[in-house]
Amino acid sequence: MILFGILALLALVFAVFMVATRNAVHSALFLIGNFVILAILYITLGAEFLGLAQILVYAGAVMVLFLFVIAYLSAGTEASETGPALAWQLPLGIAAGVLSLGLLLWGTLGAVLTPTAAPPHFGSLAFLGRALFTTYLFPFEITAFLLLAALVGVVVLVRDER
Amino acid sequence: MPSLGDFLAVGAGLFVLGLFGALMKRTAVAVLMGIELMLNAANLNLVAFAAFSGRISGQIFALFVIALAAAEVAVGLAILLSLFRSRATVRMDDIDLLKG
Amino acid sequence: MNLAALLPAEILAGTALAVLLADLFLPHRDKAYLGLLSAAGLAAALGGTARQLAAGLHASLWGGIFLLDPFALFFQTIVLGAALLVLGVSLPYLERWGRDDGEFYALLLMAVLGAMMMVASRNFLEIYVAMELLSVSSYALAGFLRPDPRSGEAALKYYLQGVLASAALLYGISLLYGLSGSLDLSVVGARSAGSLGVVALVLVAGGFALKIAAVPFHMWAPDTYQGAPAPVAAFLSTASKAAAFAVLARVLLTAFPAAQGPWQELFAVVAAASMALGNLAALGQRNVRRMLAYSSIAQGGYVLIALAVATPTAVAASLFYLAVYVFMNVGAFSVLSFLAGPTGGEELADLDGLAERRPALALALAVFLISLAGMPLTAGLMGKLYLFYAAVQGGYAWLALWGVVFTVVSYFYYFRVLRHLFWGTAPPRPAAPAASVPAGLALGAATLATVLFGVFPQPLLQLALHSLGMLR
Repeated sequence: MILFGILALLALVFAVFMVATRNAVHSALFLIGNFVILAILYITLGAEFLGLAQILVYAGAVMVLFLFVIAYLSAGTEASETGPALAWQLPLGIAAGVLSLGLLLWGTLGAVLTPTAAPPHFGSLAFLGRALFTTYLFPFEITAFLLLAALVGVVVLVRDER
Repeated sequence: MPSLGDFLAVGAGLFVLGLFGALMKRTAVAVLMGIELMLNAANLNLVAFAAFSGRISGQIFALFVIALAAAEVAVGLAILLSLFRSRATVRMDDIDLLKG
Repeated sequence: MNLAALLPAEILAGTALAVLLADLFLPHRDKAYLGLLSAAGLAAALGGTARQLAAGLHASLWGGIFLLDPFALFFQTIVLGAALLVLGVSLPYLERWGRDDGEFYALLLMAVLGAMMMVASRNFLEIYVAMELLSVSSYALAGFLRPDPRSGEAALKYYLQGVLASAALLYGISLLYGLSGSLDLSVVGARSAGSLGVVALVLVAGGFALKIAAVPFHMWAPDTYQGAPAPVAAFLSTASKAAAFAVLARVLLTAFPAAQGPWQELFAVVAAASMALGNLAALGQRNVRRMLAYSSIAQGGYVLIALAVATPTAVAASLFYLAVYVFMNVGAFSVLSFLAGPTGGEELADLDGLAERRPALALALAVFLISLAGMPLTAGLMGKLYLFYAAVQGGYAWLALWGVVFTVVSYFYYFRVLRHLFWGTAPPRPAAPAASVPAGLALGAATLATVLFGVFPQPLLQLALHSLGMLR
């Protein structure tokens, strides 16, 4: 419980800083921190493979892409925020939003579901793989096309003209 | 042992913060980072539901989301780069050729 | 498992891969063959899907994740037909821009594949993945004319709002999953009552409403339809919109029949707002493509009447309307794509005296606009009549009246274009490029269908009613 408390607090603090900071590089770094915390939370929830995938793909590949683009756009100045500081109403608004949605979820769902005994090796690679390649084979195939479409799209959008 | 509601509350917090960032930020990169936070909030929900109900489908869904988000971000940043080359800006206020 | 049922989708996927491969080896002057290859693949898939529809196929695959029922097949036929028309128009358009690369066709085919999978999904995971395939391909297509910054801007605006809506959709799905413990549409609704279920449903509906460009998720549409390549705008405003509507209808009608009360009122408001905002904003536009974009928001509003009324008659009317809307809207965007070159040429003044310069194009555009406005002897009128009639029958007379009022408002901007076409004085200008054979075929087919379904609407309406029969 103490571990969860620390992790949850860290995740939210990183998220707040990510939104609050005006420097795009700092923002990206806070987001990486948030993703790593989430990965640890996944592992505590029995999703070991997912936690690793989160670190490799999200905190790794995706955020490196972000940092690369930020660096490309005039070394961070172009990608950083300028303009008036946020008024005090806005943080208040967020706090209210977080509280209301959080309370709604906590109140309605927290009581509905209690932890059930997970099957052995729940969240392991073998367990996940079996579901992925039997029940969810079809979406898996479509994902292959999606990655191809993204690849072709990126090449079309950024390659130099002949 | 934290309850399911605790995880959902964290997810709700991340979702609202991400939404706020996506709506309030002025540069496209920052907007996109806010949206990524929202996606991760949904993923946390899915994983928590999977763990507390003993159903694997939530984890599978989260795995798909990670793959899809990576592809989506790549396309988005490519659009941004191609626009930057022709306009030399990524500020949403300056991207205003189309209006009426 | 009946894999033969997936043959049209397999043909489409195979064609997309073949186009990408052939693109590597073909010399630049032969790229037009890629377009013809794509057209052949699309036509084959269309033929296969139409045959399945005629045979009343009802196949469930992968334990119900994927369901090919007449409802799905009807929308697959719409999407494939729209894509075929769009492809015909794209050939000369891309050539004129010097961007007739194979990637365009491959991306278009993959977008169509995503839309086809989407309308036949009965599982939220499958819906989400298929919709992302459609989205990612569409984002790239919108930004395809890279030398033109307007294309990039159109892509960026569509992308950011699209991804935001998809994140909200995903969060909504995660809540529904938590409430019901399942991703299956037939299970989700029954266990998702209560205030949290409403929050989740609104988030999910918002994700689809963005693709339909319904108010308040319409902000991207004018910019994207104006800035994207004209054939892509035609695709987004018809095929993509129809697919999103199909999924939304399926989610609501199969998953939430018990909770009909709240979402019916919600969609009544959304439909009314879309009709009002789309038609009023279109009045002030000088750019014809942007005007058509606002008109498309309004047309989405007419179709959404069906979800407010939620009777079988109303939903069948929306199927009819979406089918004929494909012809008239792809047609209208196509005519514009012939007129406009890289230098623009889509302002109202550019249409002055088109009837003298290009009588056939002017006549076709007139037919499409008259149909979009809903005048007699066109498919548009029949579609509107069915929708409004179903609304009155279903106890939403005020919504039908609202629709009639804004239909009258829409006459002003549609007929302003006609005035420029036929009574404007033509300034001396270089002749527009000649239309090619595939583009002429596409345009001819669209014109013919718009008139034909206006005079003989019954067979299509019967088909729509029949397709609905097995939805529940």
